[in-house]
Amino acid sequence: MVIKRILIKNFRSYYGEKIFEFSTHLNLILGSNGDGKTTFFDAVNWAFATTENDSMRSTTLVSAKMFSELAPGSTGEVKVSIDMVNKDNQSRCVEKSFSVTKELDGRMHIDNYSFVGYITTSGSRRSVPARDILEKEGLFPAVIKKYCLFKGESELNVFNNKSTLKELINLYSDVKDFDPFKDFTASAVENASKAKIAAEKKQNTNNDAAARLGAQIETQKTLLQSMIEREKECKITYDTTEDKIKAIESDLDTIELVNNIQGEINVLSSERDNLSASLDEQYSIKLLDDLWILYGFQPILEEYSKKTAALSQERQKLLNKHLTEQAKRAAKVEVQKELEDELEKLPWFIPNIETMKQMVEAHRCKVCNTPAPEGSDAYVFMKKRLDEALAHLNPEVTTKEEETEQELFENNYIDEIYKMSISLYDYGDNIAQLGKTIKEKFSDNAEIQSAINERLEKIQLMQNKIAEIVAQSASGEDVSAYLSLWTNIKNWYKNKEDAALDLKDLAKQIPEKKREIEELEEKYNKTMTSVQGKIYARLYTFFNILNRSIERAEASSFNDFLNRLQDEANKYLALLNVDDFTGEIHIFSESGNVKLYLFDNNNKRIERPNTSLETTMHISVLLAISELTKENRDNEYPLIFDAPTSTFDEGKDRNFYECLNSRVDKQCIVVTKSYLTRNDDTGTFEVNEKELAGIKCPVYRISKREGFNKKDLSTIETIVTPYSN
Amino acid sequence: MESLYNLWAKRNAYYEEEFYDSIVDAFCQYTGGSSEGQVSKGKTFNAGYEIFIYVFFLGLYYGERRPLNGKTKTFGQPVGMWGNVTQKGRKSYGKIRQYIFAALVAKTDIDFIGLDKGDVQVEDAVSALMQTMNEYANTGFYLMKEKMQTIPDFFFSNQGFLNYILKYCSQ
Repeated sequence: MVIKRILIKNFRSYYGEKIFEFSTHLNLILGSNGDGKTTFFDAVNWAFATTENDSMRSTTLVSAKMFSELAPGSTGEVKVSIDMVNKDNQSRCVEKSFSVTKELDGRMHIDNYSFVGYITTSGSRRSVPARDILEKEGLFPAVIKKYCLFKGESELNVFNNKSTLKELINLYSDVKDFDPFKDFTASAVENASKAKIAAEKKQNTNNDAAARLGAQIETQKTLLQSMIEREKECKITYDTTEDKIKAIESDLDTIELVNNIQGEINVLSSERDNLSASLDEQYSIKLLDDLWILYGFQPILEEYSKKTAALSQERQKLLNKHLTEQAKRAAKVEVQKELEDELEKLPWFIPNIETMKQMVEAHRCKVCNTPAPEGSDAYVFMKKRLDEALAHLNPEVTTKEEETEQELFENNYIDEIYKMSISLYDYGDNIAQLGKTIKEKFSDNAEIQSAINERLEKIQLMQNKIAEIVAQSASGEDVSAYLSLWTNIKNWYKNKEDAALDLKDLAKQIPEKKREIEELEEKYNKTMTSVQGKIYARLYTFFNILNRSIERAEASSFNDFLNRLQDEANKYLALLNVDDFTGEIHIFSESGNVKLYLFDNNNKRIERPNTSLETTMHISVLLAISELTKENRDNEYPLIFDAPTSTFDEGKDRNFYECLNSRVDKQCIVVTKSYLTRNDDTGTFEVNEKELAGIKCPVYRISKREGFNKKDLSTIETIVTPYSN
Repeated sequence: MESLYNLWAKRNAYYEEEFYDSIVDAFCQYTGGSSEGQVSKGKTFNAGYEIFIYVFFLGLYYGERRPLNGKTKTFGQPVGMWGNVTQKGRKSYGKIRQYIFAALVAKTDIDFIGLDKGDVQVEDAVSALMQTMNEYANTGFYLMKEKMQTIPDFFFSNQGFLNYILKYCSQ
């Protein structure tokens, strides 16, 4: 199928009718950002879509400009019409449309959705359901379309999905032609086996040798079955681990590096936590609990001490004065008494106390040298004098003072506060030390805080480094999500290796086991004596051999297809990369899946091809598949790309298109911003005529009509200008 | 004769009601409950009297007594219980009561000779001490209020309370 013409009417920015006509080779549609490149692609995709859902008649598809110009109550049309010719050069057309009415209240109403096909034969045109043309006639089946329309480079990586590639190969190659034969032989083997077993049972009931062989065969078959099961499990393990590894293999070094940095961060975080725990910054609490609040108390303590000392002194002075007065009064009484009694003129300490004691004990007065027997007046007098002298030395005097004090003061609060002052003053040294204590605590905490900050800075730097490394993830995976899986990741490799080794062993063991069973079955068949049994045994053997032959033929056909695909793809790769390193595409079957890799001449896999090389590789395979399709399906399909070369270096994209045009015999419609250069004076993009002169193909320039309002969608209109070169 | 200190310690302190919400409740885990989560609630102190002790010393070092006006509020515990802390992570600091008492004695004009002689009633002397305490604290409350009006989160920093009182210490 070749697309001849596309008409887009009132589809988003394509206001009014815009027409593109295409050649059978390369066709370029040039536009810069916002000019309608993707809208063109979406319009084509919409017109070919055979599914029915609301998105097919969405108001978002309607040209805002057309709708804004509609008068209330009037109707407009959205339509995409594609004219094609089939392999027999007969005209075909598919047309998708719906009508748009502006209600009186200004709302949009969509109606009359239509998806119709037209067949033109001998000048007459008849309409049919569009699906009849696209699917039944095979003009552009959905399953093919899926691999012909590519939006951006990212969609080309459908080849990374092994099942997709397998699906494509099944679609295009003749491998599937073996399916009916496989089904037949599998069923024949099963039926022959059943018939044989029934005959065996009938005949060999009492045959020990046959029974032993039968048992052996069963055992071996069980073993074979478990090997096959094991092979399946290994394939699953291999595939799943490979998928996981593939997702991140280009970032493996990164993950390990990030993991190591994270380890360092963990150590620093732990140190930071320990330091934070030792940081004692509860200064407000220390004001109370550690009495730091007394830092300014020294002057008040001194004031208190002075005051209480002064009060104490004053109180003592008053007391002394009172005592003196009291003593004076007492002395006066004593003098009077002495005058009354001459003998008592002697002071209390004459004679001294020792002499008086001797006189009392000796019952004799040594002053007047006369005897003084006990009970006599002289004895009583001496005894009285001794008691009075002793009384002067006796603490009874203090008691008397206290009594005197109590006469003067009812209370002793001054003594209480004075004593407290002594106790508090003893603590005064601690208050004097508070300044030093506070300074030391500040200094300790500052040191700890500095150590914490140092670690925080290091952590921040490391986290930035991780963020930087993660942002540069080659696989596009979120590398940080794999950090916690680091141990598992290391196991993935081991699991994959183990599975691969097991698969290798099983690939050897299974055929051996099958041969072993065949030999046993052959022996067993020889035990057959009945004609019927022999026939079933032969039939069974025959179908078994046929089944295996078909399997081998299918595998061989599959490999042939892969080899051809690989050869064709490499031809295109070489064509599309004339002056650049290409490597070689290897397409092969591995563990039941199809793989696609680039290798260099030394047969070394190129792990990370640059994006343009990868894109070229994907397009080469697409072209190769398309080429093989011509042979296998007797049909061909256009390839439509939206901005496939956006990451190509300047110049490389032009080489690519020149090659695509001159060397590839295939219809390609490419929407791109290549060949456009910015005019610094006007700020607009213009076609680089000099560069475009080298390429001979239909070229359309799409652009926004000038004078649009940046904030009003209804002023946007894509204009289409054929560019002749 | 019961000691002057004991008689004083039986009394309760008073403060102007307006400081309940803005200062006492704002900085103290005032109405009981566990001290767990105290920090997360932005409460610096435990009992309400703790902020009172702070503002007392603040006013004392500032050197000004300010008579109380309007409605007043009091605390749940008399002075004699102040500093008998039992909360986890805290230390008991009952000795501070003696320093407060000493400051009050130093700063209150009481006729101690008359008191000892019995010419002055001891209850009157204790009331005079309490008045001194409440008035110094009142000065402290107003100083805090003024600071919070200028820098609302000043006292929420680790060093806020400490730095502010150090400013008025004469050492």
